[in-house]
Amino acid sequence: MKSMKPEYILAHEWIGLEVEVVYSPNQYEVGLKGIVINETMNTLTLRTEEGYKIVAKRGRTFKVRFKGYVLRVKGDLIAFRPEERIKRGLMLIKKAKGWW
Amino acid sequence: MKGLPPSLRKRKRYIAFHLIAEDRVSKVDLSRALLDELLSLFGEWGADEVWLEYFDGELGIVGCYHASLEKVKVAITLMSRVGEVKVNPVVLGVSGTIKRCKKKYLEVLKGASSANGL
Amino acid sequence: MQIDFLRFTPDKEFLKCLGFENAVVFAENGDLEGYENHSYVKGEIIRPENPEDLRKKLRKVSRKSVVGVESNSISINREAVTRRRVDVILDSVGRRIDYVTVKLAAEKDVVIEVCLSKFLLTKGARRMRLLRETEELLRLIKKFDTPFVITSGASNIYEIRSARQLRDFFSFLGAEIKKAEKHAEILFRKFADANFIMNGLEIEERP
Repeated sequence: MKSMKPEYILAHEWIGLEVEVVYSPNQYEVGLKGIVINETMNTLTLRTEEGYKIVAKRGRTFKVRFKGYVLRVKGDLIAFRPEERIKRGLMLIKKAKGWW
Repeated sequence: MKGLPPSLRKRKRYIAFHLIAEDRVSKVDLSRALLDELLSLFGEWGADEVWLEYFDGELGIVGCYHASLEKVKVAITLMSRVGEVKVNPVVLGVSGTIKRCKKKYLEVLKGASSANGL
Repeated sequence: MQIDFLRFTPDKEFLKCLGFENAVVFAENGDLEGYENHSYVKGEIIRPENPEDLRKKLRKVSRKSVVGVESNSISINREAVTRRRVDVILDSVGRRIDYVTVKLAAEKDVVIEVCLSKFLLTKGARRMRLLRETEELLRLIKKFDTPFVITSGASNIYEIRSARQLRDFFSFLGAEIKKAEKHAEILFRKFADANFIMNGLEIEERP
């Protein structure tokens, strides 16, 4: 199935996925781990052990578990409204993978 | 570069000059001599594209980019020979377009040699 | 990590001394001494005579190599930028690129190579013209944020230069060195590292 490939994370639904912040310009955000509860154009809401935390997408790097893979994703690549991220994500994947 | 929009196009300047020489000089020789002079003075680094726009053996127009205008004027002034021929280039003036350059400087000198006594 | 684009296969230790961790070696149809056994990333040069030729040769290219197009014609270079399979527009003494191509390359994510060897092979008025043209190209690249790389473009041991020298020379012409190094590394990792998918997306663990 095409969507088993790891790069499809960019177009996939993030709500429900386990995510950790591995880099952020805000040092207090680094290490935040949780499940994505909500997604907006610029933010992800995580349910962590300490409660709900809203983290911006741009400028941060996330570690996410997806289809058995653990991926490092830069937030800038997913900084779109969830509805349009499906299309944008596919475009980014097409651009990176060339014609294969 | 081809196809640049007007804001990115390099601005050109046209220098009108009168060449006093002891013998006829060809367009090609003059062009080559000017480039050599420029290269010798400023080297590959300091020089920029320079070309001979018009030359009739006596009067001519040199075209260059506005950034290297001063350097080209110096090079023209310092040119003392074209091949074997001793020359004396006199700069008449600078203009932004070929048409204006011809009108302002080349007509004046042509007119000067006859009735005005210049 | 410093990466160079070469047209021959030098000793790896020698490259390391010059400051390059690795290199992409380009050859046409794989005919280059020692092409099969080296440990560099393979690249294939395409020198098309016309757009049809370009399309034909692109079909034969291997998936795993970096694809570079080398041509003196403005229209062929412009066509090459629109092709998805093309990764780099290689640099040579007679290469001509126009404003539209630079703009397109920024959108299509095609790398433009700016090499040093063309300056070593010319002198005088020709080299002066090359210097000014390269300055202008770098200005456009900066304006459109086109991906580009700074390389030696060496075809033999005498054209190669150290990473430091390349950096100093091209920064003098007005190139943004840090960006060029980043783009070279991205292109290299795309082909050399199996866990690197694109800039900002990497695999840490596989199932």
